[in-house]
Amino acid sequence: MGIELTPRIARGIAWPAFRGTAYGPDALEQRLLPLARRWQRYRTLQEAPRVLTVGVGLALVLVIAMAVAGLPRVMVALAASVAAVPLVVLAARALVAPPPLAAALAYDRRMAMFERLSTAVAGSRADSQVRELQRRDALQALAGVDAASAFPYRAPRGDLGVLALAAVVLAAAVLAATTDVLPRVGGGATTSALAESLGAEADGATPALADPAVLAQIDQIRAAMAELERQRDPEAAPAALAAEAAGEALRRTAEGRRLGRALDSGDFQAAAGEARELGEQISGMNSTRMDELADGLREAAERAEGLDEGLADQLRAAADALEGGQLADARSALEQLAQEIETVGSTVQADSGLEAQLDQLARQLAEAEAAAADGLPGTEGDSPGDAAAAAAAAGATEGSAEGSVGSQGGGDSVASGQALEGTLETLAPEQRLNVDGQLEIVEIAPTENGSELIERPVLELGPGGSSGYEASAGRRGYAVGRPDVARNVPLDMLPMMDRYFAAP
Amino acid sequence: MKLAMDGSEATEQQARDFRDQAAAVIDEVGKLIVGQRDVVRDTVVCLIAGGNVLIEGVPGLGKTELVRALGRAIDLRFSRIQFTPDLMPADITGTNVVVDGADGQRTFRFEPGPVFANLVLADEINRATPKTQAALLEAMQERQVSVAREVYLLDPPFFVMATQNPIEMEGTYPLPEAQVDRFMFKLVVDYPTAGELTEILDRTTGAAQPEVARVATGDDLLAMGAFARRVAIAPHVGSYVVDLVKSTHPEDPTAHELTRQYVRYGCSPRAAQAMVLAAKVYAMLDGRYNVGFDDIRAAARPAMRHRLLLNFEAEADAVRTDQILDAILMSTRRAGD
Repeated sequence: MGIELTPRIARGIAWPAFRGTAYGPDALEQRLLPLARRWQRYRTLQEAPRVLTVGVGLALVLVIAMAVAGLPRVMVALAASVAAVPLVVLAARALVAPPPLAAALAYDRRMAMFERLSTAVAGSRADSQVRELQRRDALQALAGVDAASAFPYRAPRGDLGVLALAAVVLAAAVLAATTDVLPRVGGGATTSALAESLGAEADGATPALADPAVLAQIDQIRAAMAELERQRDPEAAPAALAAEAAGEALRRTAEGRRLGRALDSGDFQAAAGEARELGEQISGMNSTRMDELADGLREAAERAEGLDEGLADQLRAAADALEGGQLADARSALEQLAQEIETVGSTVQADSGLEAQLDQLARQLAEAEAAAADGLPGTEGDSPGDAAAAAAAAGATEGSAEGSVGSQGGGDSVASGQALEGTLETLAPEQRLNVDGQLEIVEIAPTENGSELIERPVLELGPGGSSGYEASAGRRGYAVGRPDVARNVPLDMLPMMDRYFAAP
Repeated sequence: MKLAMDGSEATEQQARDFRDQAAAVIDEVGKLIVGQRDVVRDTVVCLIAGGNVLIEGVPGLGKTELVRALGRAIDLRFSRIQFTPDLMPADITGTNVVVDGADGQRTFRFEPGPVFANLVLADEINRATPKTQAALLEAMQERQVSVAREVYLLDPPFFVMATQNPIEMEGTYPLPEAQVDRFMFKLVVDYPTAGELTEILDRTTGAAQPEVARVATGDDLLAMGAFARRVAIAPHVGSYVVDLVKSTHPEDPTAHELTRQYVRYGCSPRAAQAMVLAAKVYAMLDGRYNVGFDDIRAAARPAMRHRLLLNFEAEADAVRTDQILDAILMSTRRAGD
């Protein structure tokens, strides 16, 4: 027959190859072992597409769930790697030799060998001669087995198609969840994801591309705007309306016309001066003019009623005093009215400054969002600087009672806010006060070129507007003060500030 | 080792002789019987395995001729019993008769009946009464006959090959379950195809009649039967046989759904024995030394169809045993499935 029945170890199949298996070293099992390995790989390949499809499906569900839950994109991308787990399992399985009987049964079935192999492997109660003949018969059958044709390495096409489809869907889902190349999963998810990337509400006005620098800039602007909004005085607007209404009423009287115009135009400083002027002039007024002025003040008080009770009270008090005919009381009441007008003026003016800054930041925010939507980098760095400056300015306007607000310098500097130890007297010339006496400063890095000096309109201390208290900070820094600097800074700091803002 | 190899060679030679003789018998019978290859083969398989065969079919399909041809192809003592309603048990087994001795004394002497043969053809067995049918019970199972307290052994080999008409026909008595169970196979003879019918006409209406030669002896059959029993059967193949039989038991948890619905009594252990023995012969005929699942499946229907007793619901629904067996064979799992 030409078949070796004596057990021996074939060349190329060393003992260690059998150690991890149930295969023995005799001729039948030596021949069966490689066939068994091939069958194992074959059936692994047959099942692989379905198993992998299940893995891809699980990964897909995971990716979608994590994306919807708003988890970080890195985690979403990692979730996609779940699909690779079955691949590892299948690869490990393909390397393991199956039990000999299972392999023998598989070849019996595939090659129509009528259980020749499995009987030889499993054994029987037949007598030794028949068993030997049967084993020889099995070996002969095994010699004719072409494993490659019996179990070709070919995966089911239908399953492969399903797997490919699932993989494409998973890839699309991962792309959609981790980048903005594709629309994110679901309309709501798209909006929320964009909103998440911009830190904004899902109003649809957010960009499709999320450049980290732009996003950071937008975040900064939004933070500054929020801070400014927080610091706005809710009574400022009604107070302005009250002053305007009172001014309208007073403009109809001969004596109160100038006061009324000043109030109507929002020039509270002038209005306060006019009130004091009236106090000095009442001694020369006859009773008719005084009554007319008192009526005007009363009407003004009624109009201011409900908008600014303080102003209304002072107007009414002045009117009462004039009607009472006591000059001293009337003069005193008009002085108090003047002070109240100054207070209202401070409140309204401070709020107007904040409002202007908010308007400016809103424009910057719109520009940044537009840049993000176009996939462009942020504007040349002045916007974040401005935003930071606005935030710092918000701290400045808050006054000493509000505490400090951290700040950064302009975008062209590397300045950064820091808390200081020690006293203000120890500040270096290159440093300037940031806020309101809470010992927080902004360090201004000097620029190389003096022509690059940048005006910091709302920065820290200093007078607002171009008029008034202009001062330079350090060698090249430039700060513009505000007229209400005295209110925002404790009085005992003023000498140091004078020195600080003095020209070098 | 030398002795072992000689033993293996001798065994291999026996196996070759087995196949040659079985093939010769089948070929000789095939000279007379046109078509019906499976019936001829299964009949020979039963003879080799030492089993009795029940052949069912409408009259005129060659059932009797098949058994007669076997009797001619194998050198066996052949007897034929035509079962009729008035046939008595003694007509089969034989009886004691009074004889005059040389000394003038009268003594009883046992006169053997036709059952004392190697191959008994019980033709139209279901036309006799159950009492007469039962006369064959002891002979079929124990290979002996008891008459008047005397036991007479039958010479081996002993085979009963019974033919019967479908029980739906007039004047038939269904065989009792105990007797049916003693038949190893029940074979169903179908009508011949058109081509086979043409061949039958050519062979039987011409001048020349085919001659059947003797190609085997009773001893050959006994040797072949003994050799077939040596064929290997793996545990997982044996388990398959057990599963098949258990599937026919209505009360068994593994019973098939159709079994629970339509079967009154399932197959006895004789069915499993018959399947394994027949499968071993199939394997030898195929040149193998081991039994395969397909051998079992080939033996399953003829070995189980007459052992499955259906209930009234099955009769009402016109369900046949072969339908249930097909369902069982289809659903029973084999090792490696």
